[in-house]
Amino acid sequence: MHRPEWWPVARWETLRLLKRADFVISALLVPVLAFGGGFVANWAKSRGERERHRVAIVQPAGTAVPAPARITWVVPPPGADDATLERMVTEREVDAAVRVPTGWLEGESLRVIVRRGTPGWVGDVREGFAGHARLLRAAGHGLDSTTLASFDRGLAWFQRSVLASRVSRADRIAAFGVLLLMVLSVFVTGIYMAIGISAEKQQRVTEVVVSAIRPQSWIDGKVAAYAAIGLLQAAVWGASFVFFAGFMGLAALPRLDLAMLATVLAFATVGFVQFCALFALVLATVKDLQSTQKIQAYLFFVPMVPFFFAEAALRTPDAGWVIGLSHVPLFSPMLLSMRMMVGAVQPWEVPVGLVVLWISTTLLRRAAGEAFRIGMLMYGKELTLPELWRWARER
Amino acid sequence: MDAPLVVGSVVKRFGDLVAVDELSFEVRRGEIFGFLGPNGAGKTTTLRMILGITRPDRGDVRFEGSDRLERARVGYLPEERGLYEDATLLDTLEYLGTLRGMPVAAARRAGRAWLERLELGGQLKAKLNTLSKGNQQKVQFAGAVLHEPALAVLDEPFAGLDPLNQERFMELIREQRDRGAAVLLSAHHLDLVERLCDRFLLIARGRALLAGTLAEVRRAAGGAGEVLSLELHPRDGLAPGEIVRRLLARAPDAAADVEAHAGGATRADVRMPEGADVSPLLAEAALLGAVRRVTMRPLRLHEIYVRAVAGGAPTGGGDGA
Repeated sequence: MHRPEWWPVARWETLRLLKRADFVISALLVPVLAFGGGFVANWAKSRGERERHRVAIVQPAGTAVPAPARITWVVPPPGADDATLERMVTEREVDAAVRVPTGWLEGESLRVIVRRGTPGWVGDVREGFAGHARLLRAAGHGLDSTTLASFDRGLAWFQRSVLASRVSRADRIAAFGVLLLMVLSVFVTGIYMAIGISAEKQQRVTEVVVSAIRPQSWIDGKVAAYAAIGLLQAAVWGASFVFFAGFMGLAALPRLDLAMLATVLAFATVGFVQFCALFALVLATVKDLQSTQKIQAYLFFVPMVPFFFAEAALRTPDAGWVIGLSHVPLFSPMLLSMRMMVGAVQPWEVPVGLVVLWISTTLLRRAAGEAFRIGMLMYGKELTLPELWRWARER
Repeated sequence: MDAPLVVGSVVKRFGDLVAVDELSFEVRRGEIFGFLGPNGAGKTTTLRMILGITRPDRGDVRFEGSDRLERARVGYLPEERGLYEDATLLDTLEYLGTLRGMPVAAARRAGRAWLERLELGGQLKAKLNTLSKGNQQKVQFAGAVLHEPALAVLDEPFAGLDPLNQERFMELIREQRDRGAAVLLSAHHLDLVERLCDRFLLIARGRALLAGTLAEVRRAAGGAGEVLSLELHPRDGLAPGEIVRRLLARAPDAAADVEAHAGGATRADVRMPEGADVSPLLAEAALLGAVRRVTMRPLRLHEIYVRAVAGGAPTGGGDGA
């Protein structure tokens, strides 16, 4: 079977990157944090739910405030003064103490003693007192608890959106998650590409490689490798986020079907190729790692741009300018995917978006190949745009 | 096809600069072809056109009869050396082999065999940046010929090598010729090139100056075919310039260089037409002082090169083809 010329480059670059310790760490750090964080948060949450707190309570005769959930009232010795209550709290006989004054329903302060700060469960104690005070005050006005509940009953509210009736909060979170994943992965991939290409310039491997294969094949191999690595990283991170969300029960499942997933994957794949071609095009013109660092800020701003329009793409995905922007190459993989996930993409937009993305990616790849051919041979020199143009014409 | 590489009247310009001007030559199967010239003569530009990195503005480069370069059948050792410093030797050779179309397993096998031949078999997993410069160069050479190319282009293969490694590299280059490859060799180590190459092309300012076998090149280099080398201990007070003047007075067609050495010895090299009568010169030398050694030798490539480049010799000798 005929093997494409770019294949050895793609294989070499992929294996080299997969062997890099910093890449492995960055790829695995997110899952480790997600798994670890999810586990710790879940453990803390369940432990908090099980834990009961002992609170000493001194209340006027005839008053019997019920203990809130997870709270156990402890009756201190008769005649216990504030000093006694403080000692009980300090010596951990109880977690807190409450003295209820006789005029507490009329505004006199409840006196609460805690060891330090304001633990979360103190809020439960406070709410318990507030609820009981409300009942007692209502009763003072002749209202029983059933009447009071009827006052509190909420209004029924049904809302229906005409164009995106089935879009849930989970869909929006998933759409934003896809944007976040793409931007982060493109960003990290770009950094590795910058390091790799500037090292190749410094190690002067260019002539060896471009004597063996066409510069276009070299760039295609690189782009394929870095795009694949970026996608792999996004997949690992995405799976981690999904696991984390499921573990924490943070959101219901978003509405996803196979066709939508395939389309998002297609946009992501071509999008990664496009960004890698853009990075290669620009990086071919710099001379070393120092000069690479100078342009990184500008270069890596490009994949950040869709972030600024993410909210609009979620809130008003049908606005004309949002539709237009989501078909601009470099932005479409992120914005069109987001709009698709909130069900706002019309049928014609997917093929048009893919064709525009494909054509622009091909052009960018070709330009990167040409810049590579010229720029990679100019060791130790910064390549200016006029020079690039002149060399391209002179070949 | 006896000549895998045929370069026909190629011209390459960069703006107003004519880097290569109507250059023609061919490199035959089973020969080592010396491609020589001073810095800036257009050698690298020519090599890049041969390798398809740049294109000629005019003329053509034909590889095995076709104007389409088959990169997998070409090996290249560039002057600007470079390999991945953090990669292992075996991985590096595997990669270079696969770039030239070899299957991964075959490239790995060949890489291992080459490293063993180059006495680096114990360092298959070593990183390139842990090797000496000479050993790095061996790896680079192996990468250029691993796939047994029909045309091997070697640009300054001896740069940075000690004399022992230079000899080793000469053996390796001869092996390539003996296996039937066409070897295009560009180098400034003219003593080695003279011993190694079957034919030569000397260029300057993008144009061919001299071409052919060593004998043809010698003949073309102004007819000064032999050198009478005298080691003198001149009488006191004789300056080198005076020695030259008096020797040339006896041989008007000759040219001479005189070098004064420590201990009173002076070496005079007198370039003469082939077959010229040297007895008047020897008689004059005896009058100048004690003559300790007399040798006759043919003109060296180095001397031809210096004269041709400095004097802009016309194209002569063979035609490079």
